[in-house]
Amino acid sequence: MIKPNDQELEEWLNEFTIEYPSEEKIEQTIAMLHHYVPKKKKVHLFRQVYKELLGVSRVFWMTNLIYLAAGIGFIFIGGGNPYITLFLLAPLPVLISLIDVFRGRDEGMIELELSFKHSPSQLILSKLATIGLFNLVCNVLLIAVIHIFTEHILLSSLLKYWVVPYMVSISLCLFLSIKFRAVFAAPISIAILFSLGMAISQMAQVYEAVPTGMFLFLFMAALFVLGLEVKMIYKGAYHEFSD
Amino acid sequence: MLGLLKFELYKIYKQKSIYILFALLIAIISTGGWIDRSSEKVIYQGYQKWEGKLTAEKINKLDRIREDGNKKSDTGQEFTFKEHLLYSISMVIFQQTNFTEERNKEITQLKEKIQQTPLSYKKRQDELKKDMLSSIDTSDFYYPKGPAIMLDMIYTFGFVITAFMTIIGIGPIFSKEYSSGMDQFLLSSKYGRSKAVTAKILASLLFILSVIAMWSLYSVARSAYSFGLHGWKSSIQSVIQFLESPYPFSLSSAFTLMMMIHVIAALAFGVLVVFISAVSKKVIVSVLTSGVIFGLPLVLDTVLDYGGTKKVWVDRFISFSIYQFMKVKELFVGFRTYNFFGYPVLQPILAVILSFLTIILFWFITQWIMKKKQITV
Amino acid sequence: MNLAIEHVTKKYGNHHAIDDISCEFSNGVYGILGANGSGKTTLMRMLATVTTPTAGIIRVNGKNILSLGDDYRDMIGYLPQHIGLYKNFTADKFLHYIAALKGLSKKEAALKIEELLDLVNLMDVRKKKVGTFSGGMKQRIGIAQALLNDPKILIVDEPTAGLDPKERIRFRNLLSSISGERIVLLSTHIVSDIEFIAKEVLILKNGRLLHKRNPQELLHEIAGKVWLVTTAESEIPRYQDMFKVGNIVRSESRVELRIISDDRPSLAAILTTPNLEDLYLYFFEEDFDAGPVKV
Ligand SMILES: Nc1ncnc2c1ncn2[C@@H]1O[C@H](COP(=O)(O)OP(=O)(O)O)[C@@H](O)[C@H]1O
Ligand SMILES: [Mg+2]
Repeated sequence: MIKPNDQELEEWLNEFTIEYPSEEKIEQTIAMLHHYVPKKKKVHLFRQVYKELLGVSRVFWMTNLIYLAAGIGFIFIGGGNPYITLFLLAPLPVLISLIDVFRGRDEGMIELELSFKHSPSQLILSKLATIGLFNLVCNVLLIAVIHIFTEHILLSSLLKYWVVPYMVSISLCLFLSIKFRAVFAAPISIAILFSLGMAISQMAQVYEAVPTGMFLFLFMAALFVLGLEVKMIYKGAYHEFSD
Repeated sequence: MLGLLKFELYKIYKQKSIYILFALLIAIISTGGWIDRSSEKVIYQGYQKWEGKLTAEKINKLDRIREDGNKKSDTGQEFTFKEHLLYSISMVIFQQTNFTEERNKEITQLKEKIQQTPLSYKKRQDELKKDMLSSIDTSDFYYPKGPAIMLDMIYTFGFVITAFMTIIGIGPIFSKEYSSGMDQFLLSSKYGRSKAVTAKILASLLFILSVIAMWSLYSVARSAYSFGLHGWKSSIQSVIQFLESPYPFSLSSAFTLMMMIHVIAALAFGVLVVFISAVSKKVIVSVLTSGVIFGLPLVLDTVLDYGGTKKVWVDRFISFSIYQFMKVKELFVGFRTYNFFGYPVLQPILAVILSFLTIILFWFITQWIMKKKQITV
Repeated sequence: MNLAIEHVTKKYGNHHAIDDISCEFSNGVYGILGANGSGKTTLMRMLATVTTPTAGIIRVNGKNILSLGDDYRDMIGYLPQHIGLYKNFTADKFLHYIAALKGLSKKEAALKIEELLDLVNLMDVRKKKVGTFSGGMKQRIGIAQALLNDPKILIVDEPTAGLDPKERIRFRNLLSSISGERIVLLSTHIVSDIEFIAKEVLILKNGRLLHKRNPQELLHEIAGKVWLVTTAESEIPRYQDMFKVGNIVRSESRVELRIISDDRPSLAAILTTPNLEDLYLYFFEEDFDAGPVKV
């Protein structure tokens, strides 16, 4: 067979005509097919998150449980100081869970997740909210137990030893997780928390002498930074992270 | 081999996480470190008059100053800066002479006890303590602030920096290879199971040495700038945390020795972390496991000590932990020995021996494991 | 060079990934053909010593490869199926690292890397980070690293995945040109990769070695079983239900089906010469849909 050149081929192809279906027919077809399109099921965002947390993040529940057990053990059996216990242990469940929250991104699943119904930003934020709230409940529980069974907890000390370190370490970790791999953000934040905790336990008088106003300021600053971070996540700033 | 070592070092130092952590830690130790150098100078000048041999004459003078000061503070009178300085010098000397007396009392007690007891571990222990106490020389007095601050740095922040930098920097050394699939090349190449493993361990140790060098240089430079480089001849007992220490060291030898023990313990921790990394499939597992090994004694020590009561088994656990070895301080504050075939072994010596054993053991095990290793995925 | 696999079995739990395989290799290219999950990767991993057999021994020139250890690894080049790379390394640096792992001196490495980068056509991106490479480029750098130490035994696991047709042909020619003084083991599920260069083809199925023969002999096995049937488009499903249908060629209003069957599928069917693709279909009936890709 002789190979036709392009021009010949074009001429030859032009001999064929294809009739387009009429508008009406197209519409009809679409209307008919519409019946068969499955209805979108409404999955509530929080329900999905709840499911995911239950299924995926056993780490999160475990860490909280261990936290409660360790907290009670240290204070009631070990006779440890409740404040420094709160300082060192309270942020750990959240910090460790952040690894899980950002795992999808760290493992390069963002592209896949972007095609899901809920955006990854929504998923991350709602996971954060769930984790934060649950951990808060655990904390309040532990503090209540301490307050009732051992010593009375002072609100100003609570600010110094729990609220501020908790907020600061979590906002630091969240920031690092947005910018870098969460696998390192969490250990780095824990390292910082422990270094501070060690130093403070050795220089308790100095720490006690810092005025409460300073801590209120730190608390507000951490809250502000946290707000900024939520906004960054919402805008998808975490997509670009460095390895 | 040298080529492989270079590559392993390159991989370690290429990690951004170590720089973030180091910057944050240095930021923490730098806050609150502001010193008024001019007033510090005045304080030093105040002390300088009393430096050297503590003669009976000096002690008498200081005794009078102390009594005056006591009266003044009882009646609630104000001190001038100079008076206050003199008063605190007199208090320091008073405390030291008191302790010297107590030490002498203990030495005589020990002597009696030794004569009564037959040859045994207990007797050898007492003899050792007696010898150590008798060689303590606190008759010289120097202003030890600079060296004291450098010593302080080891057990407040320095050892924590070393440990956390090791965990973050060395924790991924093998586990990252596994999770990235690079282990397939490692395990199928000529030297991947032998020399490359040695190279990884050596690189880790060099990294740890560099971390220690960094923070200790920073700390020495800072305290030299703020307090000057004098006072090294003062005894370790002149630093308040070591007031009751039975070790007859000057601050210069104490600092050298404590840094050396810290380095050895840190290297032991490093080899341990390399081992953990070699048996962990994921980076996070190796990092958290090493974190727990160092962090658990830290948390127990911090939380439980703070309240006062410490359980005996917790105490035992902590005193044999890598955390305590790296911290060094606790090894020197008191007299603690272990019975080794009837002979007393001092705790710092034991710590060094255990650290060396850890290095040898886990180095060997890691090499062996990598020889037998199969890929994980 | 003689490589012998003796009663090798690899179990994962109770599952036999490789089930009592014995065979020998001498210099030349060997194609290992098998569907996904048939055990190709497992077999090659054992040959590369990254995993060890549950039972059985692999010998090279009569010596157990596991006792040879580093000396054996010095002889091999291995390209894993899924290669991992340091994203932050440049192509150059990566190859230098592997060269160091393989014990090449700096000088040797520099020369060899120059040569190989040229061979795999990556010269112009040698200073680029491998994290930015496309799948095909990663595969090519993988091939380059396997060849760094002039391996006497080259083990390549689905090396052509991710390569475009032109690269694939280059790679095929490359393998056949270097195979003279070494053993090349190449696994694939793409028949055309090995059709003309393999000295022998091994057919693996569910961890078992079904055949290890010269392609011509294997083709002889199915001679008289490959048919061409010309029929109407609407008839295709009927044929697919009843027979293993290979290539389908459309021509104007009719279609021509390639059918593998012991018996004549229809009166109008005519016998044709079998090729390796037919062979693959013949052995892997279940994996039919995911079957061979002809490039
Ligand atoms: N690490 C492993 N753990 C458990 N099963 C495995 C593992 N690796 C492979 N297998 C199983 O062994 C069989 C052979 O796999 P593989 O050698 O990868 O096949 P192929 O390379 O031919 O696709 C498969 O059934 C697979 O599921
Ligand atoms: Mg495979």
